[in-house]
Amino acid sequence: MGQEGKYAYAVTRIRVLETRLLDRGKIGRMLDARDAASALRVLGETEYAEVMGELVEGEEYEEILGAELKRVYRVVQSFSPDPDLIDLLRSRYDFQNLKVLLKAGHLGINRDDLLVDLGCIAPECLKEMAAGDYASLPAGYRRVVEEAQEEFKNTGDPQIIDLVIDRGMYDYLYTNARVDFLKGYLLRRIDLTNIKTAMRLKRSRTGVIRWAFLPHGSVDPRLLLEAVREPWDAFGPKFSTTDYGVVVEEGLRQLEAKGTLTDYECLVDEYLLEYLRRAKYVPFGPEPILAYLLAKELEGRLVRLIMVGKINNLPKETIKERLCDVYA
Amino acid sequence: MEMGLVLGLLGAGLAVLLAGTGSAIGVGLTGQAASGAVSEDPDMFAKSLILQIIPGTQGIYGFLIGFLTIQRLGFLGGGLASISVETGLSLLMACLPIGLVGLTSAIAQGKVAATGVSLVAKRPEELAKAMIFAVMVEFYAILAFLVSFLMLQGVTI
Repeated sequence: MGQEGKYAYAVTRIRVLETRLLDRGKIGRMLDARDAASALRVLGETEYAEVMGELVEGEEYEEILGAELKRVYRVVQSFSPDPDLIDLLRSRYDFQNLKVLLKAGHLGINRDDLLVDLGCIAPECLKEMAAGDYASLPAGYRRVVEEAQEEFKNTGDPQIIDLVIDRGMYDYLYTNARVDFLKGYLLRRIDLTNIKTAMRLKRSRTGVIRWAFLPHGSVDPRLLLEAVREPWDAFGPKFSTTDYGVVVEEGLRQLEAKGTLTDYECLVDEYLLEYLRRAKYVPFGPEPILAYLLAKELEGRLVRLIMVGKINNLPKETIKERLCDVYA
Repeated sequence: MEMGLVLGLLGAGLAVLLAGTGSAIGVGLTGQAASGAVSEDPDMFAKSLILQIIPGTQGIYGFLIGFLTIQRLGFLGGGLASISVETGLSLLMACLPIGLVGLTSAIAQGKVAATGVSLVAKRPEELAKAMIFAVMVEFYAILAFLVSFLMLQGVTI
């Protein structure tokens, strides 16, 4: 009775929550909205209404998205049979905050406005830890922070902090992920991010740095390095034998046509979404819980893109091009 | 008490015990799933309840076979029957189909019914389909019940 008894309640509850995710119709209506305020009104008809309250100005979308994600994490954590798994997902926000604190600390400025209250450690606590040179940080995080500080000392480049923390974060996530579904998701994300990094390195023609690629990927780093060194024509075929052949090929075509990686990023989102949709066929297990949370985050990104577009008065088609599909 | 009588009682006990355990697990599992759905959407109560009842039938079949066996043994009035070891064993055998199949099918049906609650949570209009999936499992419980019943009738005391 193990799996069934453990997950029957949680998975069914998730299935109800899934019906409240924004569907294509709602996204379409937000796109059709005249301005940011009317787009936000569409959002007010959905489950976002609960956190919107007084926030009705188009510019306040960021607070709304933050509050909604916080609400969703709180709800799911309240009934999830494995709280560790939710904590692991939330640790990504800790790393994000650590990046902000480290960089702001080195530049001697205050960027507390960029801290998000979604991690396992509250931003205030994290700030206190930063004041104490991160000595009281949990060991898993501290190792990464120390590495970032060390590299920053060697290079003096604040960007290196982002790279080292990203590397450390994926290493932390992958080694602590005990659920195969999450491991699979991370693996795909790592691979596709590495390929993106290779494209970016190749385009900018800068030297390859040691920190560029994320660990634990299934695509051999040597293959990635070869792809960076050899001409563009050889780039796509390098990955044709991997699972990402189609994504890379289409991404390269768009890169050539438009000169941006935005389309590739969109394709990556779609690819990962397709992976998450596998959770729909899992009757009892942690998969639907994970997929729901990740789908909710993706939804937040879609809403952000629409709101930014609306505030800047971009035409509907331009915004639409950047949107990927929804989970539902 | 005669050995035959003891064996007959063992049969009646197993029929009720095994099928009842299966149903308890099945109904329990579906109940958990139903709570998950109702906690987000109270309107799900009636639909979930229909699905929750389905794995409960095996327990009733087991109870009926157990009841009939006890009656044939004469525990319900009219004096205890005099039963040989062979007859007692036959009664025990008659009780096994519904006992064992009741146990396994109720658990399996509970899983189907619990996922049925998920299905209805997602698509409230599809209750009938969720029920059909669960009722498919019922078929085997009914077959086992029938065979137990026929075997019981066939044993002469």
